[in-house]
Amino acid sequence: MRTRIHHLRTWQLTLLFGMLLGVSSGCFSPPADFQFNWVYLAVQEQQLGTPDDPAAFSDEQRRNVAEILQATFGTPQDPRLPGGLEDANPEDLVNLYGLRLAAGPVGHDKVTREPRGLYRQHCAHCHGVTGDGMGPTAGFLNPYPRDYRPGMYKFKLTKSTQKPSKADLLRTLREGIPGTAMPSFLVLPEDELSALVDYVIYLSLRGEVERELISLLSGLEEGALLLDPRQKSTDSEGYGESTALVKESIQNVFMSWSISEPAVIPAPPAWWQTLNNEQLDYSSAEAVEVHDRGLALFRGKAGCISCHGETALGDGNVSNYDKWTEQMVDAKGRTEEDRLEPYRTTFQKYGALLPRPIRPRNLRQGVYRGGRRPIDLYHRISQGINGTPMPNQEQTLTAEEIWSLVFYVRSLPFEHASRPAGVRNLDRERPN
Amino acid sequence: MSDEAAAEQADEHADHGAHKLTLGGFIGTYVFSRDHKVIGLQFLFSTLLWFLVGGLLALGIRWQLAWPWQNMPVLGNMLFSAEGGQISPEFYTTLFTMHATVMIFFVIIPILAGAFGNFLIPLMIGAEDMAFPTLNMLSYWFMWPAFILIGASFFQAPYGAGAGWTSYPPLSSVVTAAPGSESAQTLWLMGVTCVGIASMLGSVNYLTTIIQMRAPGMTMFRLPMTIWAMFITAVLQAFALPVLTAGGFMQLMDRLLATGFFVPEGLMVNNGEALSGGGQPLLWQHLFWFYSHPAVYIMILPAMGMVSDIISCFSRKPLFGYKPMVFSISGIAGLGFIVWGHHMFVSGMNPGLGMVFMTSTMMIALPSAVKTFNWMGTIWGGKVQFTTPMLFAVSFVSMFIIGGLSGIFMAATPVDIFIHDTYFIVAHFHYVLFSGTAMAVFGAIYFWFPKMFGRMMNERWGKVHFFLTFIFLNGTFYLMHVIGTVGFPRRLADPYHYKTFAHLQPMNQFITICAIGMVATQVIFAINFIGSIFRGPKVGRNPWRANGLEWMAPSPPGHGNFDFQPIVYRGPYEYGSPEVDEDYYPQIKPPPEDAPDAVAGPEE
Amino acid sequence: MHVAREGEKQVGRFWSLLFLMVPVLGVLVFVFAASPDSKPFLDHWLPLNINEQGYVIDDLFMFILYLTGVILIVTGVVLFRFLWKYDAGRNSEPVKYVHGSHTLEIIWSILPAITLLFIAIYQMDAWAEHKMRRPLLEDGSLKPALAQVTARQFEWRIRYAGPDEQIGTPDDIHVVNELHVPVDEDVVLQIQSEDVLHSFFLPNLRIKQDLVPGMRQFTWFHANQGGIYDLVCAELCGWGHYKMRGRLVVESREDFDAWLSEMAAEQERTQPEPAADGEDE
Repeated sequence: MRTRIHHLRTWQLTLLFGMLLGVSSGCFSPPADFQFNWVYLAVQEQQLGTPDDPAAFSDEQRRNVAEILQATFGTPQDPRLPGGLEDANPEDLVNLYGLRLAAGPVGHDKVTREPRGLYRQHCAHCHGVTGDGMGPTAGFLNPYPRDYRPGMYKFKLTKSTQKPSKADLLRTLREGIPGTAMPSFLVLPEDELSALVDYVIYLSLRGEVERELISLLSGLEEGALLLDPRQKSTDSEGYGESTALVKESIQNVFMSWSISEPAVIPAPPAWWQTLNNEQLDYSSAEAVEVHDRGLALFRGKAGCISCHGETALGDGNVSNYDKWTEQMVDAKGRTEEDRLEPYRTTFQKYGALLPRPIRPRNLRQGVYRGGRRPIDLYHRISQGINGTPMPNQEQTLTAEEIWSLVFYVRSLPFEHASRPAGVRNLDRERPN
Repeated sequence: MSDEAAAEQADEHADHGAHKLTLGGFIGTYVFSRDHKVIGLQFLFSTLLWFLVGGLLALGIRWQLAWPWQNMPVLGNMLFSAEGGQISPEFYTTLFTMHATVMIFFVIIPILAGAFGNFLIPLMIGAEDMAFPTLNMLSYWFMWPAFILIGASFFQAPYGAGAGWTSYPPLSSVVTAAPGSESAQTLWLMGVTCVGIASMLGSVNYLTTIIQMRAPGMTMFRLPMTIWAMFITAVLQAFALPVLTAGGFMQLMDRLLATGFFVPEGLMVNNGEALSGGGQPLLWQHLFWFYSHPAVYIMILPAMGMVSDIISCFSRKPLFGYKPMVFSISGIAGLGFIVWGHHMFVSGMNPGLGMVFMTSTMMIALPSAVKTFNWMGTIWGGKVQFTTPMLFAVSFVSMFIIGGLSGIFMAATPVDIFIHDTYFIVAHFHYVLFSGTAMAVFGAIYFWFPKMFGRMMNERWGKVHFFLTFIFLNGTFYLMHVIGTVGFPRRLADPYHYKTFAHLQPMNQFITICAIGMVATQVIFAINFIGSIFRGPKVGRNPWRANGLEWMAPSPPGHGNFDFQPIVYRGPYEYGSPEVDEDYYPQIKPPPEDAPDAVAGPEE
Repeated sequence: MHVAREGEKQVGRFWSLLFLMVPVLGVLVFVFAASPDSKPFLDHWLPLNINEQGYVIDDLFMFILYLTGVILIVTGVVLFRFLWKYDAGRNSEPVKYVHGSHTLEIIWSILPAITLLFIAIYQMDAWAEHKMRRPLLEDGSLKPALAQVTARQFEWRIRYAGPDEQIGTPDDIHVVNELHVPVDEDVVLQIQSEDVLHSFFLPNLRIKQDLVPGMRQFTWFHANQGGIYDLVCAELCGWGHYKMRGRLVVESREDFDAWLSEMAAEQERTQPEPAADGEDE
């Protein structure tokens, strides 16, 4: 009996030791890192050559870009901002304290108990550690999460293609985006929300600089590095030029964020106040008149029906792609497989998500992604939606026309007479 | 039934099992075997392996609850290297779905009915095999499609099934509702259906065998409690499983053919188009619990039966209240069919029904109470031997009291409003299923191991295993009652961002440490189990000096089980009988006034 | 092979005591958890209740807790006593050769039956109060819902009936994840789901109701204390289940009305806000 127990003990120790080894090997894992923008690199390669015979940047060139980026922006654990820029102070744009709260792995500061890793706690599983909109959950969502790297945002109150303001991003965080998987983070404390906004802007800046640097590669001789440390000693003038070039791209990106300004939203005409009083009555003569004006614009001059469809069910042109995906598809393709061919041949292997056409909004559901306030709807019509086929109509429509359209669009969910079949809207149900 | 009549009946069937039980060769003998003992051991090994998988999955859940979003050892790196080892929330849903699926469908149900049912039924009733050996083999091999399908669903790119083991629609039946809802959920449903078929084949076999193939003199009321429990379990399976299988097919049709049994009209899931449906999600819940509540008893009754045998044997005293025990098992089975609604008190079911189900649920606590008192009555006045199986059996009683009492909270509808879907219920069913059934299964393994392999397991290490498991399981599950009292909800990947629950993290860390200890302790069991198969001391037929027929057969029994024709003279619990000198009185031992050479008894 | 060896005589005591620990520690844990200032269990108890109808749930919980606590102690101690006394290593008396007791069986069937039936019947009124008797208006009609709470993956969309007191009209006020209700009033909410099953759980109000898509359900309560509380989703609703965190704000009628009109005004906003704090220059 004794010897047997002894044998058992040896086995047990061996097994335990093996298990401990396995467990501890898992503990020392490499920290999360930013992913390289392979998709954009491939786009540039295609543009430089021909789609059938794309150019190829060398691994060394790519690593060089990644090194410059890391030197400028740090790592997900230790983000930093570039210094020494003229005309733009990065810290005006991105609060360093906020970055500290949002970056790194989830947890708390040991001393101050401040939260850490807010971005990875709340955002990264959809938007990805890099902010590329390719987190583990992303592929399943409809629509896909935003890729921050092009610095394009849909729902904001700044001018057409300009960058959003912090207030715009904050509003998106608070309200969520109805009709998408973006939930509301209203219940987070104020400082955590603004920390997340700072971090999102940081990821955008980094992503945009990355794109700029990748485009700079196209201008170089084949195989040449953007910033070659070896050049420093041999050709200091050339090295200085390259440094200036890189610095300029960084600066341009920062400038684009600093110069954005709110779009002009003219005050609504006099009838607006009369109609939108407490007892809004869509059947009053005046309301019918404005409604009909909006309807005429919807079908005519404003051209809304081409995408949103005659019945505003969002069933017009449904084969457009948005700016984030159009580079990965052949929009002229006849069948879906044709359109997806570039994706299948080139981009799929970089982990890019399967491109999906962008659906025009069904305006009868009463779900407004960018907000239901008149000011939001006015802005959408007047400035368009950045990155989508929704155009900027500031010049083509007058303020009064846009307000009539806003009125019409807001009345659509309540338009019972033409209630389209097949769509039952839970929102519209009335209690007895 | 008189003994003579029974003997006559048995004679009629004497040649029933005479056909060849093996196909010959190694594969025919050990792989595609039709011998109930080999099939039982196949079930035992498969389920123990899955037990390990289920336990590791549980650690994954516990890791996330203790240290949310921190790099999980080993797994985190393998799966989520790009996120620095941080798990994704859908992986968490997959973790708890698979933990429950594996533990319920691959461990508890098959280890009780499949492993012990198969191994013990013919031995304990004195038959040479099951009534339908080929069907029996099929019942094991139908588990394999289930293993493969559910295993495959776990590894489905990109996400595994994540709708919980209850698979509530529309989350499970609308393909766009959950990440794992693509092929993984379909595979999962098919897998569960295969488990259902396997159980069904088994239950038909058990019923026939127990009714038709008892040895001469083995009347129904001379059956050991284990057999009674297996019998009632088989009845439950035979009647409840068709409902789940039908429900499973309906859900499969919802997913694959867009039938909409469980999908109401107008759903807008994952921002897609409104779905046309016309079904009712609650219908699934009724169908599911109509099976799964009886299934709860399928998961505990055999354990109760085995515990009764073990306690009586090691108290060296007859089982207290044999017939009340039989009646209470039958009562549980009967009532078990009319209490399913207590899983649905806050589901949106008509609240009036809640009152009905509350009453029937309270009533089902009664037979359980009767059984508990009878086990204690068995220990009273005996001579308790604290062997490893006995320790596990007594701990079953002790833990089952907690699990039973905490059930009363949930049965009371108003209290259930608050504690439904919190850790209180998690604590409750782990007390019943782990602290109850799993402990009984450990006890049963230690108890019947000599019969299975002809060798003893190491007692000392068995006790160490028992002691550590007992301590750690209480550390793990008891405190879940406390956090459940705060309202701590189940199935949340990160509960601490609710301010009501933020302060519960240290307690959860403690629970996780205990859980890790509990899983680590099972290494002792694994080594003892595997080591003893090869190196354990060899034993004779009846190492525990027990009464049951199985102990009269050789250890391990050969094909055909008995090397003599067993004839039964009395019930299985005649310990300490004044009629004999020994403190046990085997069922086959003729009474003293009978001719001593009437039966060729086994050598001792 | 004889199992009870000489060396195991003392061991029986050890195991008996181990099983005695179950009721002792089991009850102690709950005593500590329930007492207000015990350090490791600080606030590990029923959260603050602010619902007039919720007290009865807490009372029933405590009632069952006391009852089961007593049963746990009694059964646990009896089990210990038997193990201790009838340990084979120490008990030299012959085994009691009995097969059961009819009288005992009857006693221990009837007693629990009465107790359990009593618990069941005792609870029914509280249950009806929570789930079946919706508050009435003075004229005896059902009180209309103050707001409609729609759960979707993974947030709470809330819609207040505007001035016309009807939900589903253009003057409705839409908010997300923040449910304001007036204090000291009967509040009726219409709760529903847009996609999958969710559960509307207010821990501090002892309210929980699964939301079944396709069904329109109502819940009601009477909050008696202002403050900010959690709104929890308690039914698995997908990968983001844990994200469905809402906020319940209980405030005075005046504050509630002021908040509601502020929200209504914000919803009708046609001009940008004058530069706010978070504004970017």
